[in-house]
Amino acid sequence: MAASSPDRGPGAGVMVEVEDLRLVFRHGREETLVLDGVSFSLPAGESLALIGPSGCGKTSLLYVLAGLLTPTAGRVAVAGAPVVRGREGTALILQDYGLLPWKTVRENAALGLRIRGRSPEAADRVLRDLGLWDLRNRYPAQLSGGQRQRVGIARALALDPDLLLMDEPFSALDALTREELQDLVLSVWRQRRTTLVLVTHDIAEAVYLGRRILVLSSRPGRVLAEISNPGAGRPEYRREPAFHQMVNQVREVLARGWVHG
Amino acid sequence: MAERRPWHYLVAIGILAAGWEALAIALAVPAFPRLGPALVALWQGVAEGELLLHTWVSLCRVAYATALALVLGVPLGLYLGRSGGPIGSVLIYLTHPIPKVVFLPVIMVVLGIGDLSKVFMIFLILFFQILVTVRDGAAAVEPGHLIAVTALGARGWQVYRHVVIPATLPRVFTALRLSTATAVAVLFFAETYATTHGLGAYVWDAWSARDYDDMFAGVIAMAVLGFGFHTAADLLERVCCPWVRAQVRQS
Repeated sequence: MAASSPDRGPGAGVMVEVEDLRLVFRHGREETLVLDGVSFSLPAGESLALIGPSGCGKTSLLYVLAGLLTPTAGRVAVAGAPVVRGREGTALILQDYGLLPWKTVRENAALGLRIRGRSPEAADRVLRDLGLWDLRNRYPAQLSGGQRQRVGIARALALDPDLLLMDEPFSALDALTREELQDLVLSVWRQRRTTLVLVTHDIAEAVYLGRRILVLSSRPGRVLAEISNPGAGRPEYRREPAFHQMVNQVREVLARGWVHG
Repeated sequence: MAERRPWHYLVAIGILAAGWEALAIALAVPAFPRLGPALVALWQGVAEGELLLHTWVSLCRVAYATALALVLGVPLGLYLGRSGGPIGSVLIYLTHPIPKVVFLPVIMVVLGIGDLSKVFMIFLILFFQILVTVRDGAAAVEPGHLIAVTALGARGWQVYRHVVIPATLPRVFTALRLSTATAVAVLFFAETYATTHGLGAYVWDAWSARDYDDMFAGVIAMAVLGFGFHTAADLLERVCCPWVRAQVRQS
């Protein structure tokens, strides 16, 4: 799978570039500054975790990258081009509601392909890879939380994306299922070298999956720190002392931001 | 809601029959016959074929009116729920509460006194029930579902096809169940003039002739007709919305 696009490896260029991003929500005459002066760039094939207190705008930032929200000011580029909604190579995985209750597992997994007018075969292949084939005729209501999020991942992977955006994908799951799915995402990233942006409020998750960690302040969201976390990307990392040191370091930054922010 | 089994129907009919008998004995008036004579009249009506013909005529009128109300009410309701402005809402809330039966004289003048005006009368009442239900359903679509498909690149018609229509469909069936019951009730007004056929006319004639057994045979036929529409809506929903049963079984 990784061999299909050799130009995707690390160092093949910048996948995400955000410069001086400012996002304002308007409700009638009231204006809320959600994100202010956010800048970062992410090379292709890298993984980035966005972490911050709730309401800091991290989900909004992800929606900007998905083209679902338009920045008020600043520049956002994906793969060198200004961001557009429904970009061919971008896949988004949501916490809840990502799956449509009226579609079976198989239909949900193939939804992105169908909307883009492509053959649904790739979805069947991914369902088999993720061990979901036996559940293909079930509806989301008949699945466990972990199985549902697996289908969400399958739908994203069916598009063979070069940019995978995840919005607190595992926060509603129990600890064991969460780790299992984190491992799944990690193995996908290792095999495909898909550029990964993960929004989370779970520090351990950010440290386990994000080779870069962007810590945002409380509203309006500003970048408190960009931490390099080169140990991430290996399944053993979770059990190493360096992992726990990094968790403490991120906790430290968040706590300081909370006091001063 | 638990699955309905045959014995549930039997018990419900038993309760209804016992209530009928108790009421008939307590009232002791000719206008409310005992169950026995009403059933005999029903049997005779069915055996002679007369009552079946009346039921068939009524069924056709309700079916035409329902089909027309769906064809016009569902798309308009979807549109008003998703893209309709406040003016559309105000228009609905102003016109919905008006008892449509008061337009009967106008309808008769414009559309004549034949089948067309009767079907239109029933249609008018059903149309608003379906319109309001569908509009509310379309407006209440889960925003997360919309985000999911827009992120996948869906636009315009695709958003309707993958999210808005399936999300609203169960409500259409709810509206259908409620409004076919209303439609059968409206027959009593719509079939009182210029017709010799239909259950409304049958009940009306029997009443004029003070043949109360026949009158209640007609009432039972109306109940059966309404129940038939209800069951048809249930079956259609099972076919069109299989996920609803999956959700019910799970919760």
